[in-house]
Amino acid sequence: MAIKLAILGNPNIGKSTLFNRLTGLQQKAGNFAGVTIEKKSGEFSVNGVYYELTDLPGTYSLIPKSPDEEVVFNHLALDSTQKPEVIIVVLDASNLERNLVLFSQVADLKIPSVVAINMVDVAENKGIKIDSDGLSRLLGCPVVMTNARSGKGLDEVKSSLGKARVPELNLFKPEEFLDSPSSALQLITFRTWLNWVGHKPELLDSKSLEILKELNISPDLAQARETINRYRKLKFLLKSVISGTEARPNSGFGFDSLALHPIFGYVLMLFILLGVFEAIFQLSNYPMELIDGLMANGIDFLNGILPEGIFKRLLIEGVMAGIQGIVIFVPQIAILFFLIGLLEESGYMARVMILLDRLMKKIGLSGKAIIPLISGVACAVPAIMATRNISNSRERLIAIFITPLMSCSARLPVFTLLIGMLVSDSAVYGPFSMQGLVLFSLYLIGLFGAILTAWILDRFMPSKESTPFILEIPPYQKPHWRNLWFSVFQKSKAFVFEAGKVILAISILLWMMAGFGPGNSIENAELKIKANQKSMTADELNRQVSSAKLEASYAGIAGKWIEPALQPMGFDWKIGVALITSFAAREVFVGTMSVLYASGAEGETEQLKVRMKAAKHPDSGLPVFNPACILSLLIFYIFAMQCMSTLAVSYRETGSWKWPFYQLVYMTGLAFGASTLVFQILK
Amino acid sequence: MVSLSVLPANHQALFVSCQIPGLNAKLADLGMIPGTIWKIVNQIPFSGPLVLSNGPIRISVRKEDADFIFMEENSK
Repeated sequence: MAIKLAILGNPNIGKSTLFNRLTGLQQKAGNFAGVTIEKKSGEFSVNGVYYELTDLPGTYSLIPKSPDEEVVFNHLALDSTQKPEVIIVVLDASNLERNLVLFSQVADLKIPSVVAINMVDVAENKGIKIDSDGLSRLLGCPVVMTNARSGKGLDEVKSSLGKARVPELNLFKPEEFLDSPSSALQLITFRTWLNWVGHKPELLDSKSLEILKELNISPDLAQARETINRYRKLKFLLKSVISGTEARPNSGFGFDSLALHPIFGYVLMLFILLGVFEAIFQLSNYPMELIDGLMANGIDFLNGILPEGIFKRLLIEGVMAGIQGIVIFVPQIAILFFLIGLLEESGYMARVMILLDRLMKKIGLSGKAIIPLISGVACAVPAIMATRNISNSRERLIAIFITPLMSCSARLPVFTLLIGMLVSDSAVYGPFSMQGLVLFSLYLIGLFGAILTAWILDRFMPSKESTPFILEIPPYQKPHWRNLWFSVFQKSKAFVFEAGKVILAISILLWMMAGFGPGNSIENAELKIKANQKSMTADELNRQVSSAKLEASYAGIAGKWIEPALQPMGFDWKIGVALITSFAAREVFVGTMSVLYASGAEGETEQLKVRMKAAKHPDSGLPVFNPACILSLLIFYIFAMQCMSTLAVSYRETGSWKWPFYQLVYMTGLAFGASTLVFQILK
Repeated sequence: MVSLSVLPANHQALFVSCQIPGLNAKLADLGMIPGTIWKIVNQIPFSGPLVLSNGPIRISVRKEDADFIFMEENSK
């Protein structure tokens, strides 16, 4: 049996770096966008002893003030099945006093601990000297000096795990900081106290509850007094083991004079955010073409070696088309997560939160909603999870609700395909390509939809009192390339295997639906065309036959069935099929179109564009994909909730189906309305 | 005793108390302990958040919350 370990500490002090160092790539869950929102775990062994290590979200106190801090609270709860046997408490060497407040709470829980004092190099540069032996005696447990970035002290952390001890520090003295007769308060253990101030009175015994109720003090003030009491004692105790803290030059914040400048701060922010956006497309261009080419080669190869038959068709038109739809995304997703991770790791994201707080407040949000909104450009799933740093539940609900309206990377292939049909890639406007400008405006429309929705929600949702916006601003840091690489790797892997399963399954299902029909309707359709053929070329005949076969298939029947509802938006039944299949995930649209337009065998998007452009309405003979229809379809994909994963994560984060249901109805309604409007005006 | 929101940039003052229910524990968590000296680093325009610093700690609070955070001007 592996020994259960947990790693705990304030935010932004290199916990995750240490975690990555200890576990390597043996991790179970990806952490999203730089911060550890969900705890993740990994395993390692020291001299034959196995440890299962959990990285907990950064917290200042064991008493939760936001949903991400609640993860810590629940993990350490008495009835928790994952309750750690040993805790590694990570402390920032430059800010020991405050960091030790958290440690002293762990000590009062009587859990064997090891202290890792991290970022020792930064502290030494500031002239701070820490006597680690003295500190170890003071705290009553092993103390290791580390620099997680360089790996210094890592072996010592590992070897000290066997020497972990319940710390001797005992600072919890409620009778000192609450004006109350001490005899009764002495009965209150720290765990009882934790449950009381952590708003879990049901976990208290009646005697303790009575004592605490009689105090007549709010849990907020009680907590504040506890922290202040710990702080003051620690400040006094630390005097003997630490020196050089008086000077404490304020390093790592120099860039703020520009980043938070009333004018240049905003200019810089705009520049950086646009730069991120531009980089995603510029950098992913080449790898995407490469993957496209490789996949086409692979399909050609299979085409050559496999015997004709149903198995070959399934493999090439179903499975390979599905796989292509998955891996083609990986470059964009990886780059996007990398850049967002870079903004967070460097500390710049906190500045963006401050700069935009004022604006966000106008729509019922705070600067903290910036992370979900920006991450939403990558993927709504981690973005919705990132709302856990928002402590106000009303604000958090609004943020969860509007995040899927931000144009995520899954919309990108849909956009790319459709824009390619709408605007020639040679059209340029100054330094910008016309295609890029159209794409940019689609993102803006999504953003506008999100803002408008938040504004409406803010006006109509019952208002609770606002929670104050308060935020720690971390010093700027050189990005930890290792951390970034780890998280990009984990997320890409999660995408390929989690989303990939769904996409692959749908591709195969779709291939079957498109290839088979009730009875022998497909054979009949083929015979009918062949009987009517007069002076058709072989090519023309083939196209007519495959189109008629598709129409007679199950997919065709389903598309035809919903066609009347789609007509106001200018969509035909083939688009209808794609809307149905891409309900699970938007990117399935492109794969569906490839299957429907029988370009799957070639597997290249250029071919698909040509075939889609050639498609004509059977009655009128007019092109299906006229500009009005393409624009209407683009608008549809901006607004519609075509993502089962988002619905699932909304359910998980809000704790009921009510909100995902509202999201689904609202976004689909919005998409129908806006697309109809666009098509009816432009047709 | 003055309200934090009236202090000009680059001014230093001692934190005394906070009159916003629910904010006391969070301030203490971040190291805003009565008696600690804080410098007003920055004020985001259009009544945006204030940026305060104390040694290695830098935090940001909204101006309307700062109205109810009380400071003592540093006499030293």
